Amino acid sequence: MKEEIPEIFWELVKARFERMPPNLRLVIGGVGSLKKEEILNHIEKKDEIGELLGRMEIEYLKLIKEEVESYEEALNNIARP
Amino acid sequence: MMIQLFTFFIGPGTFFKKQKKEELKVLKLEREKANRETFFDFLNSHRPSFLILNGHGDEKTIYGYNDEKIVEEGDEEALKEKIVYTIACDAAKSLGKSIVEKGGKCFIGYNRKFVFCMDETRMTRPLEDEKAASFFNATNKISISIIKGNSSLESVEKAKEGFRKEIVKWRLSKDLEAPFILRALIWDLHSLVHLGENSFFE
Repeated sequence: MKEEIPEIFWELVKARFERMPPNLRLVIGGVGSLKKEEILNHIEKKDEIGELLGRMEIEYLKLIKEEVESYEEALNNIARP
Repeated sequence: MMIQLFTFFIGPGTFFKKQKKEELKVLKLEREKANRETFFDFLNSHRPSFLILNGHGDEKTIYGYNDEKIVEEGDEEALKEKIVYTIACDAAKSLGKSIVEKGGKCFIGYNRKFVFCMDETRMTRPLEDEKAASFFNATNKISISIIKGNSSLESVEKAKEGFRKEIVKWRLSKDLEAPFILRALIWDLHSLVHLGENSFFE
């Protein structure tokens, strides 16, 4: 079962996409090419596309977390005598 | 030896560069030819062993020109003993599973929506868009690798490696677009799946 996206997280997703450059288009198969304003609208509505964008953000953050943990592990190994 | 390859280009599929080799027979259905009747005529008359389906899709269907249903659940018999690769969204979720359960060699595709980024200033020249290329260079490795004789699992791994390389590239980029391209690449990497047995194109 999919975990629900927490309310506070939607703010983060919105803040992220507010910084999207206007020349960039996000193309979602079966949906089409989305401009920044359209993306923000989907996030605001928390519809199916908004949900996809939210999950995209979660996966990005998980990857960053794993990266940080791997750096920590590497640093700990160096620090050990 | 004549090896038959069937490709099926519509919509975003036209981004793909074709690999031409003497020993391959490449058949294409583009635009209005990407319809169900022609597709099944081709399947019956040419008996290809490797299919690349670049329409859009959902869990149970891959669509062709004018959103005509081309392949849907119930068509598994026609895809027996074949390697099928599609970029169609969600198709690996249900259709892909059903194809391999009913005799398809393997099904490579995405179990969620395929997402990519484009630069608006390059929309009329998509092949010059390095942002879009990041996605298609990675996913195209599947078909190129299979045609070169690698196994289907190796080919998917090459594509995943391609996505990872692009992720590192954009991770190090200072472009303002980079964080968004990065998110979409990670999404596609995690959505790409191989179903069925490890297979060779023969």
